[in-house]
Amino acid sequence: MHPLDQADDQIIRLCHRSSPEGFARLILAYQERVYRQAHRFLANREDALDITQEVFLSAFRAIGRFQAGRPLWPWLRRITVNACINTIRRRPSLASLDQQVVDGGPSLGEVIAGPDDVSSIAELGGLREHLVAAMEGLPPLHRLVIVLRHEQGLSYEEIAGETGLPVGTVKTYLYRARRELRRRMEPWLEA
Amino acid sequence: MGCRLDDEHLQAYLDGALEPAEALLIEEHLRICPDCRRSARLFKLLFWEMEHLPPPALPSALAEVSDRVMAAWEEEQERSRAAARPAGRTAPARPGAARQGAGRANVAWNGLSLALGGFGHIPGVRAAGALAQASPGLARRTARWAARFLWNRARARGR
Repeated sequence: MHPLDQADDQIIRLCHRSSPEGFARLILAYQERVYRQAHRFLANREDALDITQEVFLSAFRAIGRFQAGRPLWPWLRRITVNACINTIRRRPSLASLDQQVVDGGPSLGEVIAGPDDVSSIAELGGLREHLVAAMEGLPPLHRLVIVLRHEQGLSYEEIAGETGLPVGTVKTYLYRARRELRRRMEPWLEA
Repeated sequence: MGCRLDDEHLQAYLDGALEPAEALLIEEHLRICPDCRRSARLFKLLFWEMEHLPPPALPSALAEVSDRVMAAWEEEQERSRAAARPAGRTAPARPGAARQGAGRANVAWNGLSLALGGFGHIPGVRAAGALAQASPGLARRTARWAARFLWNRARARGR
């Protein structure tokens, strides 16, 4: 068994005995990962913090039924995805075009508009900052699919399983989102 | 794209999601079409960049989330214990481990154990020490939280 899986196994066994050490270790091991994933999905710090809390409460309630020997992260990621989808459904307009991407940097609206003059790119700053901004400007479900594909390395089918979306819809969202990102990022990618 | 290859097929090819025969057709096309080659190159660069994005920064408020989770969990547990308890019966007395002079960490840890473990499991100093070693911050917060819990319980009993 992989050392990481062994650590997971120990956490699961402790939680099955209702040991507070197990719950504390679960939070310690996965809090940052869950937060970062939720932040990538929702592009909002406060929502990501709320989701992190919600995910661990759901995990505490359900871990009694979780089988030892299985890795925890895919399960926690699925809970995170579901919590984020519920938030998106409750508030479809999560991404604000006026949100400033980095302190002192261009607003999301400016980035989305894109530079007409390629020579202005140097003034706009780094590729990755703008890629993050462009991703944050995508519709939330498109962004979610992109993150699951490119950060988590999931296949179309796995994304469908994780999100409950049909495979055809996953492909449509993914292709549209990447076409849009390529269009926004073309000057930086060509540079 | 001024050719017969649509960009969805190109993306599916780059994802490795096409059947071998379809992939071969795309490769043949890329050999003769500079526009599609350029498009494929830009998509590949985009994919690479998306796979290597720096992770979002962690806010300091994240440290409070564990406190909030533990507090909310304790409330839930207390509610379910109260619902399961026959009317008129109070909670059983706490075992005497905390009185054995095991120190502040043990008292704190036992408090947390009482809250989360349904009075059955008292891991003691070793577990508290392991947590303190793994994460001094979480151990401190756990001790704070457990002290608050014990204080509230003692107040409730004194009423």
